[in-house]
Amino acid sequence: MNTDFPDTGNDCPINLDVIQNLHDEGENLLGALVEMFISEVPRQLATLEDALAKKDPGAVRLTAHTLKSTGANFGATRMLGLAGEIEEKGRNGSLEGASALLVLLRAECARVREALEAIVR
Amino acid sequence: MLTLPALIIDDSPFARKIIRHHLVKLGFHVVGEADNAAQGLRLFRELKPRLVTLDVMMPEREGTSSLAAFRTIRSEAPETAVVVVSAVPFEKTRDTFLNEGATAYVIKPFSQFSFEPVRQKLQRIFPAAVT
Repeated sequence: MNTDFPDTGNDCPINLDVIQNLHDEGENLLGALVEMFISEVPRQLATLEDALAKKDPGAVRLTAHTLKSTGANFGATRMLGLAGEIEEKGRNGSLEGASALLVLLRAECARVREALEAIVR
Repeated sequence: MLTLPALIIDDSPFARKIIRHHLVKLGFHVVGEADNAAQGLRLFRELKPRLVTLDVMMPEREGTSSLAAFRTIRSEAPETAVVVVSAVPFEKTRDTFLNEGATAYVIKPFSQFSFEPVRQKLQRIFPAAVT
């Protein structure tokens, strides 16, 4: 592990081995992905909130899937798990409890962003 | 060294960026990107890439699933190499794609290590192009 990376403790929301691999690729790939995270994820969360407000299971499924994929690329296990649970509700057409999960997902995305920013800063 | 055209089909912009990085490093020229299987098939027919990377876990759009797109590509251009990308290591899914002619099956998140077997396979298929 690159010792330049800050010690974010045992409760780190991202997989540091995955981050290290992205860092090792060079060409500022990691920096570009973090910038993309900062710009894309709030948009994806807003789209998901909108889909939930409109009670549109298809749109909920699609947007939650996108957030799940985003989390997977950083090894953000809890983020992808929460997004996966919302995606499943969209797939089943039963959105009960999805808004509560969105609150948790939003908080987890903020933790992931914070951890990523600490690494590339 | 030849530069061969490649197409990336993946709904995650993050995955597309990472895959593009790896393909360029291998010596490919990424000629197109699609965020769903239906759009990917259209670009495949238009751009005629020698290599396609296909995310297997994309939500179905316009009635086209990843598996359907894969089978169409295999049937229309069997000489095109298709690298299947997945976030989950389901053995059954992997076997389905490999038995039907996928060049490789790679699991997200990517690393230089997960791409190494892909590089070796592509080097055997495109010895004049892949570094």
